[in-house]
Amino acid sequence: MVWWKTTRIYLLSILVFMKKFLLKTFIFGAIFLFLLIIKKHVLPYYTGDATFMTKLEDFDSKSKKFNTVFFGSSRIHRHVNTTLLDSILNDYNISSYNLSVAGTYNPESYYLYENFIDNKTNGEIKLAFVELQALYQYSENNYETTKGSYWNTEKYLDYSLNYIENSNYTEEQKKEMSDSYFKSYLYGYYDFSIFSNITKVALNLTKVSKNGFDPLESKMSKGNSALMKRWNDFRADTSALNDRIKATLTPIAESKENTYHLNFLKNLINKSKAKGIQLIYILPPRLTLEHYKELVPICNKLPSNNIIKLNDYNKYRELYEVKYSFDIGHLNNEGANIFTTYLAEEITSKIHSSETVSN
Amino acid sequence: MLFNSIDFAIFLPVVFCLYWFVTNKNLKLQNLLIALSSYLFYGWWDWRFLSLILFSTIVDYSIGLGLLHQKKSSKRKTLLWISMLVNLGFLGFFKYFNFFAESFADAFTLLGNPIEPTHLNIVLPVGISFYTFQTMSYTIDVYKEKLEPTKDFIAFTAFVSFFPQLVAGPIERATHLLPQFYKKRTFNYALAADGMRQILWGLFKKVVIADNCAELANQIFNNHTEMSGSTLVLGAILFTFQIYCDFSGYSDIAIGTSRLFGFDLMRNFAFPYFSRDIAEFWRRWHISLSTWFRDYLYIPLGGSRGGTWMKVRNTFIIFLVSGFWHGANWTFVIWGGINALYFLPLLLTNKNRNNIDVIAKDKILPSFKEFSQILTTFSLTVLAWIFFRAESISHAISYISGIFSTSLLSVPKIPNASGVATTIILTIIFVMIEWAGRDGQYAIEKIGIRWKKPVRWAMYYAILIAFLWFGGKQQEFIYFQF
Repeated sequence: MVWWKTTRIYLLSILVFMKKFLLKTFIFGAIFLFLLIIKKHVLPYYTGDATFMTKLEDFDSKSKKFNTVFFGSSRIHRHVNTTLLDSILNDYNISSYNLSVAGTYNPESYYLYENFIDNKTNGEIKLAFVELQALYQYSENNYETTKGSYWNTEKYLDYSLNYIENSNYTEEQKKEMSDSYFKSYLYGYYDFSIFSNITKVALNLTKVSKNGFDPLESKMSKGNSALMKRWNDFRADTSALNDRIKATLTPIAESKENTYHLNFLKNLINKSKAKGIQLIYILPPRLTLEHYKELVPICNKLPSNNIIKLNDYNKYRELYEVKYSFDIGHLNNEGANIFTTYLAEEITSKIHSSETVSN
Repeated sequence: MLFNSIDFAIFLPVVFCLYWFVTNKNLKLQNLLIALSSYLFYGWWDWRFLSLILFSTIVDYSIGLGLLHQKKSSKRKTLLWISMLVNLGFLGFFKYFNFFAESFADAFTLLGNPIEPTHLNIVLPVGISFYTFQTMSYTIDVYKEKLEPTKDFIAFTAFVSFFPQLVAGPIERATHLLPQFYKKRTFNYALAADGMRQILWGLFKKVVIADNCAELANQIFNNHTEMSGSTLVLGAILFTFQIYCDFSGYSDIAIGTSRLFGFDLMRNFAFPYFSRDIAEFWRRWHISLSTWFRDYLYIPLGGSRGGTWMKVRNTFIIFLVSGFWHGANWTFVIWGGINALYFLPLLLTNKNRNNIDVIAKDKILPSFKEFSQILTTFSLTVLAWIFFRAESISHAISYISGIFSTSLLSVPKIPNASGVATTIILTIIFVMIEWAGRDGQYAIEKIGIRWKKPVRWAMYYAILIAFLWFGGKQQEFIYFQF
C-alpha cells in the first residue's frame, strides 16, 4: 500500500497548507447551515403566509368569539360569505370566520387546519370546514416560493410522498411530483423571504375583509387591472366552462380512491372530534375532470356527515352559469352569495343529522 | 453556466479541489485542468460554439508562432491581418450580419429602391466580443513585439478560455494574464479569502440589486406609454443601477474566482457613479474595454495629439465603436455618440484629467460642489442609458418625451408591481455601502477588515441572508448578449 501512504502524505501536506482556509470555510458554512435549520424549525406555523397571519390576528382580536372556521383555497376564500352564512344560520348560533387563503393547495390547507386546532385548544370551535383538494404537479413557479414551501415540514413531506405513491398518476408523473415536493422541502430551508411576511404584517400592509371573506369582484372594482383582465378574458371566451360542466357530469365511480389520502382525511376527522370539532370537507364546483377523478371516489368513502359536495351541475346549476362567474374557476359576488346559500342549506342538514352544534 | 446558478455552485468547488489537491504539483496539468473546465463551463451553455473558441485559439496561437519566426515587416503585417480578419470576421458574421443586411435594405428603401433584406437565423455565441478582443490583444502585442509569443499551447488555450472571465470579461491583456499561466501558483490564504469576499459582494450586487431592479425596469420600459413622467425617471434610474450591478457584479465574481485559483485579473469598475465628470466616469466604467480601445484604437489613430479636428474625430470614433461593440443596434451607436458629446468639451478644454483621485478622500461626505458634480454626471449617464436599454431609437425618443410631461412631478407608480419600496431601500443601502468602501478595489474590501471576527462574519451572514431573502428572479447577465 505504498501508493496510499504517498497519497496520504501528499493530501496531508496540502491540508496543512490550506488548513486555515478550509477550516474557516467549513466553520462559516456549518454556522450558516445551523442558522438555516433553526429558521426552518423555529418560526410559528402561520408565518408562511401574510394573508393567513393577518386573518389569524383579526380572528384573535375580535371580541366576538367564533365557533366555525373555513380553510381552503380561493374557492373558499372568495366564495364563503361568512356574514351571509351567519345570518342564514342564525337559529343555529353559527358564528363563522373564513381563514382560507387564495392559492393554497393540498396539503397546505390541511397543514394550516391541523396546526390551527393544535394551537386553539380552548374548545370554542365546534364546526370546521376544509376544502377537499387533490395533490397535483407543482409548477416551478410555485414550489420555489415561501408559500409553496413553508408548510413542507418533515411530516407533510412524508404525507405528500405517500400520497403520490398511492395515487393514480403515471410513474413518470409520480417521479416528477416527488422531485418537486422534495425540492420544495429543501427550498423551505434557504428561503428567507418568509421574513417579508412578518414585516408586511408588522407594518400593517395586508388588509383583511370582514370575517375573512374577500370576493374577487369587489377586489377588481377597486381598480385591480390583473383581475379586470381575468374578468374580461373569461367573458371573451366562455367555452372552457363547458369542459368544467362535463367534468362534473362524467361518471367516475370506477376510479380507485387514494387510500392514503382517504385515511389521512379520516384521521383528521377523528383528531377534530377529539377536540370537540365536527370537521366537514367541501368538494367545490368547477374543478377539472382530473381533480374530480381524484376526489369523487374519496368523497364516496367519507362518512356522510363529514362531506358536502357542491359540484353537482344538475343540483347547483347556477354555480356554473356565466352570469354568476368571475372567471373559469371562480364566482362573482352574486355567485359567491348563491354558493354560500347552498352551503348553508347543506350545513343545516348536517347539523340536523349530527346535532354537533347546539344552542 | 451562470455564476448565480446551482450548477456553478457545484462546479466551482469541484474544480477548486481538483486544481489544488490533484494537479497542483504539475503546472501543465493545472493549466490543462483550467482549459478543460473552461470548455465544460462554456459548453454547458452551447457545446457547438466550443469549436469557435478552439478555432480562434488555434489561429492566434499559430499566428503568434508565425510572428516569432517572421522578421519581414510585410509578412508580419499579413499575419496580423489574417488574425484580425478571422476574429473580426467571426464577430461580424455572428453579431452584425443581420444588422448590416437590415441597414442596407433600409438605406435602399430610403433612396426609393426598396429591397428585402436577407435574414440568417444566427445564434449569437455568448461572450464572443470578449474572447475575440482578448485573443486579438495577444496577436497585436506579439506583432508589436511587446510580448514573446507562447509555445505552450495548453497555457494559451487556458488563457483564451479562462472560465472566470470567458463570457463577460474583464477583457484581459495577454501581457498581463498569459505570463501568469507560466508561473507556478501557490495557494495564498489572503488572496483566496479576499476572492471569497469579492464573490460574495458580486453575488449580492447581481442577485439582490440588479435582478430586483431588472424586474421593475423591464416593466417600466416595456409599458412606457402607460407610465407617468416620474415613473419613467424611476425606470431609467433603476436600469442605471441594474446595468452597473449586473456587470460589475459579474466582474467581481470573475475576479474573486480567479483569486481562488491564484490569478490576478484587472480591475473592471471603480465606483463609476461617484464620478465628478464624464471623463472620470469613463476611467471608472468597464475599464478593461475602455483601456483596450485606448491602447489598440485611440492611440494608433493619434489619440489626443494633433489638432482639434483630430481630437474630435478620434473621440467620436472610439465612442461610436465602443457603442457598436455592445450590440448590433443603432441605439448602442447613439449611446456611444451621446457619451462622445459629453466627453468632448472636457477634452477640448483640457479638463478631462481634472478628477483622477478618490472622491472626498478621508471624508465622510462629499462637499456641496462634489455632490452637485456627482449628481450632474449621474443624471447625464442616466439619460444616455435610456438609449442603451431601449429596443429602438424611436422607443428611446418616445421614452424621453414621456419623461418631460406634466406628470413628471407626480408620485411614481408602477401598476401591479410588488417590492418597489424594498428595491429602492436596498439600492439606497447599496449606494451607502459603495460610498463607504470607495477607496477599495470593491466596496467591502476594506469595510470591516479591522472589525473583530464575529462582527465581520455577521456582516457576511447578513449579505448571504439578504441574497437569499431579497434575491430577485434569476436573470441572465446583461453583458452575456454582447
